[in-house]
Amino acid sequence: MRHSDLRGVTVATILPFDTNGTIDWKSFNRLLDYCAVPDTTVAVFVNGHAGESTALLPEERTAVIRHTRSVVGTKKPLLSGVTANGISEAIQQSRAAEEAGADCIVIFPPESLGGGASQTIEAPVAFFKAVTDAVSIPASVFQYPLASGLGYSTAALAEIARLEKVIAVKDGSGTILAYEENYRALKAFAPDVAMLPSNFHWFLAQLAVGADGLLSGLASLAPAWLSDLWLAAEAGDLAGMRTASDRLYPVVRAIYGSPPIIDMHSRIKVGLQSLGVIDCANPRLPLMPVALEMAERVATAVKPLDLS
Amino acid sequence: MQQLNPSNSFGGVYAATICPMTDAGTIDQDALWRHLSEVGAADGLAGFLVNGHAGENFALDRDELMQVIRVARDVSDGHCIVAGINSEQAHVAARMSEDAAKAGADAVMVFPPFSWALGADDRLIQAHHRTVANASGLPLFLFQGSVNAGRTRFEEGTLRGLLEIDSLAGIKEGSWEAAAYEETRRLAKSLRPDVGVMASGDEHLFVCFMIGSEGSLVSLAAVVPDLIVALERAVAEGDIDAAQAIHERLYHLARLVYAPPGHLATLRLKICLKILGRLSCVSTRMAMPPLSTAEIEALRQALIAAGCLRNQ
Repeated sequence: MRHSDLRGVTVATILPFDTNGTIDWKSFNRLLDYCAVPDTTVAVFVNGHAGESTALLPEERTAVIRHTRSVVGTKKPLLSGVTANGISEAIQQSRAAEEAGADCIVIFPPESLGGGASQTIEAPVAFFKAVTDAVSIPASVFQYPLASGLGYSTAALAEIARLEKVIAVKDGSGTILAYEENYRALKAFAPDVAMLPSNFHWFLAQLAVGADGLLSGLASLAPAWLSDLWLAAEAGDLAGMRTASDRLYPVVRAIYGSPPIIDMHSRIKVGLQSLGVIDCANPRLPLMPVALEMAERVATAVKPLDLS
Repeated sequence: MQQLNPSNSFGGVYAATICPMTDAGTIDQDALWRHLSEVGAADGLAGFLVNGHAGENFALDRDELMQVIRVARDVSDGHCIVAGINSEQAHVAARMSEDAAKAGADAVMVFPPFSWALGADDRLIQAHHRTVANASGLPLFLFQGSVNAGRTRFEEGTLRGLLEIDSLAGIKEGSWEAAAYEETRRLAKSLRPDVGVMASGDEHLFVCFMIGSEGSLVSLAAVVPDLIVALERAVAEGDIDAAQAIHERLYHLARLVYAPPGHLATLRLKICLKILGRLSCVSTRMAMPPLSTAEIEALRQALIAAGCLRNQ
């Protein structure tokens, strides 16, 4: 696959569990029909944060990739997250993803790049080089919020983007200035790498600055609405962008507006449950079920998404 | 000259002007007159914000603040004049508000005084703004500071209270971050649709205009007023390509002028004006030695990149 295959909305899928905490494949099938199969979605990303990758066993990640491929087919690129604590595990997960049939790995920053290592240029570049050298499929970089301490500097990101197998950056820097600096650096140093905004509160602003696609867990919940925003931006239609953004805003606020932000994907699950897409919204530990008051707020916000 | 945004009586682009000083550190009245005249000549500029941070409001005394407003009134060719009020003492702020009315200002803007960085009580913030508003009866602007400004930035609850002030006309929205800007804007539009939300994070003008605004009060417009007006107009007309092209010209200049430490922005603006031949002396009230040749050269290059200056 190429960077241009990501021009459009890539959905970061959530993963439904039943009340016992087992993967609920029937609900997952309905979810894929809802957000991955429609033409408004150009690519599917599994085993990311939204897919609770860190709570899955290796064989479950493999099963998710295979199952998703069987539903979505081969026409859309399938990306899979690499959420490891260190280099050995990252390589293991990457190879497993390739073997299971993923088209691209999305590499999350490992814990081992904490303590200031992610702020250097050398350490993250060497990490990405080692991981991408271990597989033959392309890779995408997940740029974390700078406030997390695991975000890369613009200079490091530009170096990583120049690695042979890197085709995309999912940018969640968390400030519009960092996004724009990274966007400009990619265009200057790695023009064949796709910049994918991945920051819920900044979508319109990020698309205004410039983007080569859009990757979000929110596409699990509101795939068509995000696609409308993307298409309006592609058409240079400001009024259309604002209309799409206005329609999304209450959903964005319900999902991402209140702490703890770690609950965002559990809130998306609550929304999907209230829309009848999945049966059970419970996440795996250490995520906690969404409190009743918040669940009601989410259910109210997503009502306009109910087309049935 | 004045081009009002039809959605708001105080809409449009305002230049937050600088205050020229002599080498001795006194206000250079002639240079001030020239500065305001040159900035005001920009087609479509709605007005001036005088005595803002860029105008060193924190370093001027009451007489000087009035002097600046009088010059602005004298220069004004239909321009609207917003006068900044920045005092730690509410009773002094009230006198400044009366002064502003006497000197011919059309509105006053309350700047959060710096002691609020210690953690001001919401009741105090509300009372301070109302004291200034009531003292002159002029329409009021409030200043929402940067997400990096610590406690001088207003929480949502404080903004809600301030949005209840009847004479509130506008918000100088300087959150300096797109998502925070949008929050303020949506809150203001839901509670007080008549209040203008003015996108004023100089580095983020383009994206904030795209999100939506009634205009802007920015110091970058003291150097490149035509470009800021053109940017605002392009977005208002939905011409994203034209807006992006202007944003491209402004990007490096804005990054340099407002780079940390932010306190240097005023000096950098003055240096830009000097490079452009519009100001002879870059003195400020700050105890600041001259910037290095390299720093000045970087600003010169940014002005060339912005198309404001020919490479010589």
